[in-house]
Amino acid sequence: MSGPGGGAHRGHAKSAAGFLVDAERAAWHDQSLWFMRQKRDRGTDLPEWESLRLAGSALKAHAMSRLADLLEEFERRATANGVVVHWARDAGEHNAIVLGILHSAGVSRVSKSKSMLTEECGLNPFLEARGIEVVDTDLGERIVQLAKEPPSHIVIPAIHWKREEIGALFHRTMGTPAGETSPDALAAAARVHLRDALMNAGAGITGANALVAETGGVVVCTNEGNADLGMHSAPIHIACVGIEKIVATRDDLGVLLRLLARSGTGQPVTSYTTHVASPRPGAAMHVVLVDNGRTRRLADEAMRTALHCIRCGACLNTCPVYRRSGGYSYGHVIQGPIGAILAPAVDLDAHHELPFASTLCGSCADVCPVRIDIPAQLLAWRARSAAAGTLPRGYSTVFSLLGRVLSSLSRFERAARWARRAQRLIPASWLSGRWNPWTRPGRALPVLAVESFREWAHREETPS
Amino acid sequence: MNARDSILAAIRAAAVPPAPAAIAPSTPAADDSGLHEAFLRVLTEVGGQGVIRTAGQPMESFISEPLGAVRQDAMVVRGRFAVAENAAVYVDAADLQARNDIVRAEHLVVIVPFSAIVPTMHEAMRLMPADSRCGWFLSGPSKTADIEQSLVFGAQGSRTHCVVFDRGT
Amino acid sequence: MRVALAVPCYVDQFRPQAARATLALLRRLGCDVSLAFDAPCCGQPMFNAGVVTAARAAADNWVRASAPFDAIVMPSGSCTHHVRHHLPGFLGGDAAAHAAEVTFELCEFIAGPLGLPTLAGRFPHRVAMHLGCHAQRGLRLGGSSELHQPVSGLMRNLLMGLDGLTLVPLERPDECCGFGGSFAIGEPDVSVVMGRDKLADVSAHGAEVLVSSDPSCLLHLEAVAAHNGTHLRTLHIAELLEEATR
Repeated sequence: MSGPGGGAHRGHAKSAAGFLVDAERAAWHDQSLWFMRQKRDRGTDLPEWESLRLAGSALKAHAMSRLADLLEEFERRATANGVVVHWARDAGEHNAIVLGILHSAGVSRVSKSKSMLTEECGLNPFLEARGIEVVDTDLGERIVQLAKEPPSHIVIPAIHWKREEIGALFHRTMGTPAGETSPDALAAAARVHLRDALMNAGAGITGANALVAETGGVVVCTNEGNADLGMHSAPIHIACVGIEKIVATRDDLGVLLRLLARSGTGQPVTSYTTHVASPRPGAAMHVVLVDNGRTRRLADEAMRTALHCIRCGACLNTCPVYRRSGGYSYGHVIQGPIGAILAPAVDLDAHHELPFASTLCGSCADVCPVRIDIPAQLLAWRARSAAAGTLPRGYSTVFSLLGRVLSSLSRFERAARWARRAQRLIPASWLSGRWNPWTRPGRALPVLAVESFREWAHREETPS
Repeated sequence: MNARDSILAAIRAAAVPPAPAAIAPSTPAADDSGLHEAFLRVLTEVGGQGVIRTAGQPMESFISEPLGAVRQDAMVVRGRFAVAENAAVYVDAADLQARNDIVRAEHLVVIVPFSAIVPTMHEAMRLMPADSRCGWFLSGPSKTADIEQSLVFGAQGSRTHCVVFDRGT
Repeated sequence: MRVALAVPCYVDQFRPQAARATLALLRRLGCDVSLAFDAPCCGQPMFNAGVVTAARAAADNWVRASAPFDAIVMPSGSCTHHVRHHLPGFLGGDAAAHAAEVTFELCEFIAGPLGLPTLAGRFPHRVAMHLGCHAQRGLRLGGSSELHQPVSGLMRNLLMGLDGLTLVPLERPDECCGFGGSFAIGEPDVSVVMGRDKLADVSAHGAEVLVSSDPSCLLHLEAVAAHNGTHLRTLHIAELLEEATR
C-alpha cells in the first residue's frame, strides 16, 4: 500500500514518530489545528446548538432509512429539470462515467473544486493518464496538486504547508517573485493563475455537500467561489456525489447548513452556498451517484452511522492524535477520527492500526455535528481486528495472557509478586532500553509498590 | 443488473429500520427589531459591508459610499431576502443575466427589501423558491484561509460585498 | 447500605496509596467500608484493546464479586466507565446490570449516595485539575469545552469547597493526557508528546499540584515528568481530599 508521495505507508505509529521528529513543526501543526477547534467552539456557541446536533443526527438517520426512495425521488426531479443522473457501483465505474462524459464532448481540460469523493475514486490520476488535464481550483487543493501530494486534511488540504514553502512553490510554478510569502500576494497570484482554467475549461467538476430529494438540487458550499466560477462557466457541470449525501427536504438542508461551516471553520456559513437544480440554458449538468462501499456500510448496523458524516472536519481539528501526527500518518484519503472508522471497511489488513491511533478520549464525538459515536466504532473495529487476526503485533498474545492473569485474584497476586521480584533484580537500564516503547520516547519506568494495597490491607485490616 | 438497479437493490436489502424525520429546533422568538442589527454585525465579521437605504436617497450614492470612491465596476444584483444569523442574502439565478455573474464580479452589491429578513436558515428554507433552478446564499465576499490560516478576501469571487437594505420605493 | 471498596488492578500494584486514601476518606465520612471485594480487574484493558474474549473472564469475576454490595466505590474514572457503560451490553443479564448500577467513581459516591457536594477541609495550594477522559466525557463528571460548558462538575466542586485551594485555569482544560491504555505502548511517541504538552500547560499556569480522578493518567504523566525532571506534585483526588480533611 503506498502512502503520500508514493512511498510505502509504514502505519500510523511509525508515520507519527516520523512526524514528531521535527518537534517545532509538529507543535506548529498542533497549534494550527487547535486554532480551528477554538474557532469552532466560538462559532457553535448558540443556545440551540445541542438541539441542532440532535436534529442533524435525526435527519441523517431518517435519510439512511429511506435512502432508496430518496435517491429515486432526487433522480426523478433532477431528470425532469434536465439533469442527467448516473449511477456508479464503485470507483472504477465512477471514473469511467466521468471519462465518458468528457470524451463525448472532446474535453481536454477540466476545472475541479474540492471533492473528497473524487479523491476517494482516484479521479485525477485516472483522467491525467488518459490525456485530460485536471486543474484543482480550491487554493489548498491546488497547492498540494502542484506539489504532487495528496491533501492532508479533508477541509484544509494544505494545513501542513508554511507560507515560505507555498511562496517557493508558487515561485517555481506560477512565477511569483522569489521570497514572496505574504498570503495576500500569493492568493492574488493563485487567483490569476486559476482564472483561465475556471473560465475556459471544457467541464467543471464539483463535489456536493448535499443532495436534496425534495428539490432535485445539488448543494455546494465554498468560501472561495471557485466551484461556482467553474460550474457556471463551463459548458458541462459534473457533480460527483456519494449516495449518503442525500437529505430528504429543504428543512433538513436548513439544519445542515447551520451545522456545517460552524463545525468545520467556525463561520456561521460559507461565503457561497449554491443550490443548483438544473443546467443553465445551453449547458449540460450531470450528477454521478456513487456507492463504492456505502451500501455495504449501510448493511452493517454497528457501523452504519459513519454514513452520516457531512465531512466538516471538526473531528480532525479536535483530535489530539491527528493534530500531533498529521493527515499523512493515516495513509487514507479521509484522515483523523472519521478516517479511522471508514478506512478499515475499505481494507482491514492495510488499516487495522488506525482504530488504535486513538486514546478513545471522546472529543470527536462531542464536536461531531451529527453525533456519530466515533469511539464506539473505533472499539468495534478493534474487536473485529481481534476476530480477523489483524491486531497489531503482539496484542493478541499479551492481552490474552493479561486476561488470564487478571481474572483470578490468586493468579494476579502471584504474577505481581514475580513482577516485583523482577523489577528488583533486573537493572533499570535494561528495562529502559530503546526496545521499551514506554521509556523510549521519554518516560521513566513506573515502579511497582513495595507492598500492594491488598497486602497492606491484609496486614493492617481485618476484612469485613 | 445495471448499476442503478444493483445499488437500489443493495440499499433495500440493508433493511435499515425506519427513523423519524428530524424536527428543526425552535429558534428564539422572532423579534424582528433586532434582526437588521444582528445581520449587519455578522456581515462586518465576515468581511462585508451593509447599509440601510431610506426612501429618497439615491441608489448611486449608496453604492459608492460603502465601497469607497465611485464603484462603476460594482455589479448590482437583486437579493430576495436576508438571513440574520449568518449575514447571508439569497440570490436566485432567475434575477441574474448569467449564473457566474456573482463570482465574476470584483465588487458585488446586493439589494434586499428592508422587510425581507428572517432570523435563521430554518425560516430561510421556507422563503427559498420551491422550484428554483439555481440560487445562492451569499455571505460576505469570497475568501480563503488556506495559507497558514491567514484570511484573504477575493480568492476567486468578489473582493468586496455590500448589502443594501432598501426601505425606499 | 453495604459499601465495598474496589481497587483497580494497577492501583493495587502501582499506586496503593490512592486506595488507602480512598478507604481513610470514606471512613472519615462515616462509611463502613467492606474490603471483601475480591476481583482484581474489571477487564477494561483487554476489552479496549479489542481482545474482547480475553476480557470476559475478568468481567465475569468482577460481576460475581459485585453481587453482595449496594455500592462499590472505585478510585478510577476509566474503570467505573467500563463497568457502567460496557459490562451490561458485553455480558448481559441481571448480575451485570446490578454491577453497573451500584458502581461509583469516588467523587460520584461522595456527592451522590453520601450527599456531600463539598467537604470541609483545607488545601492551600495552586491546583491544576485533570479529570481524565473517561471521567470527563464518559461519566460526565465535569463540564466539557466541546459542549460549551465551563470547567465545572463534581470533582471541581469538591476541590473548590476546600479552604485556600486555588484552581488554576488551563489553556486546554480537558484535552487528553495521552495515556489511552494500549495507546501508551502502541503509539508511544504521540502519547509522550501529549503528556509533555499537558504538563507544560499545567506548569505554565503555575500549578503546584496536579490532581486527577484517574490513576492511569497520573501513572503516565508522572513518568513523563520524572523523565523531564519536572517538579510537580501529583495526587489522586482521593489522596488530595484525604490530606485536606485530616
